Parts: sequence; C-alpha cells; structure tokens
Amino acid sequence: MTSSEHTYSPSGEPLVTIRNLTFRYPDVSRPALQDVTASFRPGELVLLLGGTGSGKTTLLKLIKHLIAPFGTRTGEITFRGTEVSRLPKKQLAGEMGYLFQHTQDQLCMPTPLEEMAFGLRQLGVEPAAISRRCGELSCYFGMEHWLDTPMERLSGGQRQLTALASVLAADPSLLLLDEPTAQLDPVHSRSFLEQLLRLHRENNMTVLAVLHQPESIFFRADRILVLEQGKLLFSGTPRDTADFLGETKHPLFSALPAGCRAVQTLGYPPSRGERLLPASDLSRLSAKPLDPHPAGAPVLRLKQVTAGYPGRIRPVLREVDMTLSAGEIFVLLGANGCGKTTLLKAVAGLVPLLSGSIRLEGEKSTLWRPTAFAQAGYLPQDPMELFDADRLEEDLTAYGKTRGWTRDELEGLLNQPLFSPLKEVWTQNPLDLSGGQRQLAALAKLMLKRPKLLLLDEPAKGLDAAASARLGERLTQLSRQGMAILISCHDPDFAARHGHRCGFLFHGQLLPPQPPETFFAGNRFYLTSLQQYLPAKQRIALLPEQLNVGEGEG
Amino acid sequence: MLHRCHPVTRLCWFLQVLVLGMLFCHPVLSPMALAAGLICQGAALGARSCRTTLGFGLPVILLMGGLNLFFNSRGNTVFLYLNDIPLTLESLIYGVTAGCMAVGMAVWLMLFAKSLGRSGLLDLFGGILPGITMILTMLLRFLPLYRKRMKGRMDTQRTLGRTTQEGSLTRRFQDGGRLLSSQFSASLEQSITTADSMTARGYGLGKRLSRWPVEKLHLRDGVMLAATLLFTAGVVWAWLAGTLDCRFFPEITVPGSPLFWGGAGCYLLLLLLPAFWTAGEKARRRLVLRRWNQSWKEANAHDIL
Repeated sequence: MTSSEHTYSPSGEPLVTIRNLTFRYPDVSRPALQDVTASFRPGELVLLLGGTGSGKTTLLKLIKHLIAPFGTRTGEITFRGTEVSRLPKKQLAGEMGYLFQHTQDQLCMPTPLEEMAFGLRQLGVEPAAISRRCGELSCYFGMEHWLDTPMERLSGGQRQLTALASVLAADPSLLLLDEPTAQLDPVHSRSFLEQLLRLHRENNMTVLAVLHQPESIFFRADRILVLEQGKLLFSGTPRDTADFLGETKHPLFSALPAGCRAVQTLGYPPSRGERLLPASDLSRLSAKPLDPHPAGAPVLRLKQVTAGYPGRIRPVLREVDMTLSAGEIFVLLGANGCGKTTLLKAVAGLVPLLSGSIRLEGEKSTLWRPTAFAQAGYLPQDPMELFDADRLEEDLTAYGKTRGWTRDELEGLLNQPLFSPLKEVWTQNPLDLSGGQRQLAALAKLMLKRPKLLLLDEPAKGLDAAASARLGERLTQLSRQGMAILISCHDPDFAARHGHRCGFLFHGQLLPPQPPETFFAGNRFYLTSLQQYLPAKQRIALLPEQLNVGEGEG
Repeated sequence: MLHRCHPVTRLCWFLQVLVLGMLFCHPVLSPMALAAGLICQGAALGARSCRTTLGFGLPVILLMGGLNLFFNSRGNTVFLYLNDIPLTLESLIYGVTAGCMAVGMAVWLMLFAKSLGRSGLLDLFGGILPGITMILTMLLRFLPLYRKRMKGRMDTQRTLGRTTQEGSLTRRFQDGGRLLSSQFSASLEQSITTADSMTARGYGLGKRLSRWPVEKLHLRDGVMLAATLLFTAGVVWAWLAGTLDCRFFPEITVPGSPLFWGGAGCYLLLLLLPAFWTAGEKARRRLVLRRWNQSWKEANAHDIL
C-alpha cells in the first residue's frame, strides 16, 4: 500500500445527480425509495448503508438503467447532465459497471479471458482493441496464470476479480457494487477491497458500493449514505455518520468498526474510533467476562476420523478427535478449504470415512458400517437446496407428513417464538424469501426430523450485522432447548459472540478446542475486530459488548 | 495435434481421415488406420494413454472376431468344428477387421475432440454465427456448474431421507422428479442474475458481435491442406479404380495391383502426417538447440578457458 493519500480529490461537476427519486414496485403499497436526493462527484468513494429492505439495491439498479426493475418511478436521475432513461444504451452499458454479489451466477463464459472479452464483443469493439484491453487488465490484476482455467475451478475471490475485470474492460467512469464481498471468505474479501481501493486511488474511479460489512473501508470512504425504509436518513463524511449513528443509537451502529464502539464506552464521540486512543485512555477500560457454558452430556463423539474425497491422494481430515455435548454451540474455524465443510459432511454421512468412527446418541458410523444419522440435521451453505415445493406450507406439511407430524404438531412448532416470523411468509415460495427468512425456514424443516444435532455450514455468510445477531440469538435459543450445534464459520466475531467452544482446523487436524476467551487470548494474528483495534498489551476483551469504564491501573 | 495450424485445417484433415476410415473395411487398411491412430495418440498424449485405449479396444476387437466366428459361417476355409458349427477363417478375419475399423474410428474421434479443444468447433463458426456460438459457449460454462449444484442438492436431500439410490421404484421416481424440478426452479431464479449481468454489459445491444480471437492463416496451413487433399485424391482414385475393395466371403479376394499399394501408401501418409510433423518439429528443435549450444561455446571459448 502506498503511503500517499489518494492523489485526486473528488471535484468538479457531479457525475450522478438524484432528485426526489421515488420508486414503487408493482402491487406493493410501501415505496421502495422515497424522495431520495443525492449527488456524487467524479472520483468519490461512496458507501451505502442500510438494513434489508432499505432500498440500496433498488437505488443502484435504477442508476444503471438497463437493469432497472419494473415499477413506477418519479423523480430524476441524471448522469453527466442527461436523464438516465434517455441515455443511449451503449453508453449506459459501457460507462457504468455493475457488480453482483453472486460470484457464480454473474459470469457467463467458460474462462476468465472470454469473460473479459464478453462486454467488449457485445459493444462491437475491434479485435485488436479487445486483446489490448484484456492484456492490460490481466496485468493490473495479476490474472496471467489463470486466464484459461475453467470458471468452476477458480476460487470465489478470483471469480469476483474476473467479474470486476470484465466490467472494467469497457472503461466505465462509475462502478456500482452490490455487496460484492458477501459470498467471499475474509482473505479474499480483504484482497478484493484492496483492489477496489487501488482502483479508486490510482485511477480516480467513482465507486458507489453497498457493503454488508463496511468495517474495513468505512473510514476510507469519501461519503456515506444511510438509507432506512427507502428514505435517505443521513449523508455525510464517515466521521459525521459515525457520530450520527452513535448519538441516535441507531441499529446500524453495530456495523461500524469496533473501535468506534470502544471509544464510545469511554465517552468519546464514535468518530474518534478511527485512530487508536493513547494507552492511558485505554487503560480506563475494563471488561466483563463472557458467560461460561458448562459442558452437558456428550452427544457426538468423533474418534480418529480420517475422511477424504475419492480420487484425491491425501485425505482432507486426518485423525480428528472431537466431543460435542448437548446444548453446546461448537464453532469450527479455519481457512478456506481447510476441511470445515468436509467435517460437517462426514458427520452428516455424505463423505465416506477412511478410518475412525463417529458416534451420535447410540448410533455408530465407521468405514465398514457407514450410517447416515437420522438424528443429525444438515444445513448446507445454500439453504435453498433443502426445499422443493412451490410454497413453504406445502413443503413443510409434506415433509412433516413423511416424518409423522400431524397438523397440530406442526402448528405447535410454528407457534414457538423462535419460528413465529415464518407465519407471515407461510404461503410464499421459498425462493422469494430474504436471506434470514430462508435460513429460518430451513431450520424449521430440519426440526421436522427431530434432530439432536444440527450441522450448519457457514450460516453467517453474506449476512449483515443485524441478521447475524438474529441468527446468533436463534442458535442460542435452540442450544438452550438442548440441541447440540456444530457450525463452521469464517467470522471470528461471530464465534466469539455466540460460540461456546471454538476449534481451529489446520492441515487436516482439529487443534484442541477452547472457549472463545482462551482461544482468542492466545492468538496473535487471528483476532476479533475489537482485538485488532486494541494494542497487543491491552487486549482485554473480545467484543465491544464486554467493555465498560472501570478502575484502571493508570 | 497440429496445434500450430488453423482450426479449419485441422477440421479438414480430420474429416478426410474419418470419412475415408468409414468407407473401408479392409484387412490391410483398417488395422493400418488403427495403428496410425495409436501412433498419433502416443506422439500427442503419451504412451500411457495408448495403453488405456488398447485396454478398451482389444477386448472389443476380440469380441467382434468371436461373435463373427460363431454366428457367421459363410467362409470356405474351415479350421474347426464346434458342436456342428463350422468356424471359418474368413469370418474370423472379417470380425477382426470390423473391430479394428470400429476401434480405429473411436481413436480418431477422440483425437479429433482433443485437437479442437473444449470450444474448438465454436471457434470455427464464431465468425459466421456469432449469436448461436455465444449461447453454445455459455453451455460450456453452465453445464459443469449445474452438474455440481445438482450433486450438492442430491447430497442435501439425502440427509433429509430422500434419495434416488434406495427405496421402492415409485419412491425413487418421485424423489428424482422432485429433485429435478427444484433444481430447475432454483436455476431459473439464479439465471435472473445472469441475465441482468449480461444485459448490464451490453448483451443484445449491438447488431454485430466482434470476431475474437482472430486466427490467421499461414503458409503452413495452405501446405497442409494441399498435402492432405493430394493424398486423399490418391486414395479416392485407387478406390474408384476398384483396387481397394475386398471380398471376404466365400473367400478373401484382394486385388493386388500396384494401384492398391499406391492407394494404401497415400492413406498411410495421410494418417501419419501429423505424427511426422510433430517428430519433425522435435528434431528441428533439438538441432537448433545443439547448434546454439555449440555456437555459444565457440563464442565464449576464451572466457571458459
């Protein structure tokens, strides 16, 4: 990273102006966007913050008029002075680049090279210019070595880079990003954001981004727009936004960097959290410990489990030992591809064991007698894989019937406070539900199996802070009812907040699991966001909720 | 195979080889085609893959020979009587020849596919029918992805107790049908993002798609085309003159005129052209390197000493 600030400062005529924009989807009474007015100057990096249903994606799609949704729009959106609906379509396609969060679905060509050339070919650019531009971009992003690998063999981060390169090939002046890092693991997410910042800094690109975890680049943005229920709540510099969210105790405050919340405990305005406080100030903080969770009766026992995929020489998991008790939330942490999903699938019975045994409540599965446990519920990374009917009620009733649930029992399940939000969406198609609702519906379907163990594969992927907190609460409630829960997770914060024990998978082995405090206290690099903010000698807490002002040592 | 040539040249040569191969069922020409195919495969893909092919191919040839032996008794030379079924030499040779032809064509088709690559045919027709070609290229992208997603869905449904591997036949059909329909709905949902992504980059806006990547025709393409057409002409001439026919029953009769040897020779050269090309390239590379090493040594002799 170069030491200089970005060399160009945003200046000049606004690139995009939005005036009194109101948009209503057909057959929906509440408008998706209400009277939004904003303008963006060339070279600005603007972040859009807001919960689900706040209209962020709708706003981005309306600016990029080619993919604007159906509905009634009043108000004005101008790009370089011309109303967006009157711009020639080729200009709309080339001047504005739009990136989606689904890395797999937005790519349509078999290799990255063809993907980069796709847009240019559609716009009728000559072949020599296409080759030139592809060469430039592959050099800029370092894609030379994987230009011809088939798309399904690339990692998520590489795919998102390919999508970015494909959009940049047409030389846009505005980049619109719709949660581009939602489906990426932290390492790839960080490198993608670095590339974005580099683009903004070196090439003076105007970027309008919706990020589900704006923590890392919150203070590097030029402006933040806060949307709520379709209305523009606040627009200002990152510092002003942090202060505003802190003062009004807005729910979005939890999306800010951990430092903001830490300094607010000490009485400073949240914007002071951009930089580290002096040690004397920090020593005034004290932390209350996290609640301990005593172990219950063991439910799941893994002994020397070795598992792998046929066709690969080395097994993915090597001699893993693990015990899980009832009512315990065990979080599996580790790098991308280290075997977390494999471990979950091995317990679910989807990956054959090469040696060792898995015992669940009396049933035992080994190499010679593989058992698919009936008492384990498996929630995959894409919850939609569990559903197969057109309506949620149809799906759950049919499956409940095969499992011996009567209608009354099903009603009883739905009436539980945990699953009552499902009543509102009971007659909808599962594919129409939002991310959090999908997971809840999937959990309900798994409950129909009457499981003793839940296996969740990266449930917090792509969720923003509020949805992640809701998920954590639901899991805690389930664990209090006696359910043993095994989660694989990328997010150290989620593990610290909701996990009872954390286990790190490395090089095929599960390192001895520990409660979060012991686990993170011994780490130097794998830390929660608050620990990263605090200096090494003063890492007294894992989460901002633990902090309060206390008697310091001075 | 012939990677330095334009795809059109490769296509023409393979077409000639395949069409000629399917025309002849000759005890000399068909094994020759098979042998040449294995030689080319060894030169291009290595000896290990040849062994695998032989592993599949030899049983087929023996099977065809055996089938013919037992069910076809029209030949004249009987060498064994088995339960009153005469086993004739002619039917054995016919079976083996037919087997060689079948396996040989399979080998050449495999080489054809490898030579043109995953999107080879699409590169060829990209200039003429760009719209359809682009859609077919997208198939190459989405079919592996759908296969992976389908497998994931099947695994997940298996944990719910729904599988197409076990259970009664009606249950299996029901579960399979449900799987397919749910995968279809999910794919439709995901394709909205794909469509948006393509529209956002300008799909369907311009009337004409640019041709890309552009492949140039070189002198060697012309030379290759001319050579192959020459050899094919020779073979066709011999065939039209009737010298490449072969009657198996009741006796093997092969016209042994010199035109036959000419035709067979042309066929052999046609088949082995790329093998010669690859061998020639390797030899040339070795020669160039040797010359370069020597000249370097001479130029730096005073430094070394």
